[in-house]
Amino acid sequence: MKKVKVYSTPACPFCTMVKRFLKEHGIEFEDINVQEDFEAAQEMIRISGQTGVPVIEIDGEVIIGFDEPRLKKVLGIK
Amino acid sequence: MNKEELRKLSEKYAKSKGFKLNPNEQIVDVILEGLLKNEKEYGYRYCPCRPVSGDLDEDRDKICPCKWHKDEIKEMGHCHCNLFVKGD
Repeated sequence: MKKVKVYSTPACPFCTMVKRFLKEHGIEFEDINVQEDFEAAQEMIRISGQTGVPVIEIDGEVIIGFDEPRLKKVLGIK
Repeated sequence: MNKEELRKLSEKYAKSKGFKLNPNEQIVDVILEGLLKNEKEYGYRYCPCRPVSGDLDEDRDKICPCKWHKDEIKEMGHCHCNLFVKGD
């Protein structure tokens, strides 16, 4: 199973959409609220090179924003 | 400031810069609520789609309209959090 992390904030609509998408496809993920965990926020900025959420990390591959085609490709969803 | 006042202020700002608020009202509602929540919590309307440290010097660029919104609208047609979109 791929290890999926979602860096998000509670008021970000695209974070909600990413998490809904993952749930709908039965993908387990770790939801990291960068509004409450500033160390995680720094890690997110380090791996993505920018400050916006959502950032999705799938087995080390980083996706910025709700990029559904890329999420499907990386997760092997048809 | 309440949500409707902030919506009007945001609309006025968008119009003055040649862009507009996202026509998807649900997205705008969530973003406005996030901005007001950040204002209540931190004293400034920080973008709700970016992590905030609580240190104004560090977070100044994230106050809405953020430092990056014009470039993002130019490049992607919308700002990162989708409050502002390209004008007609």
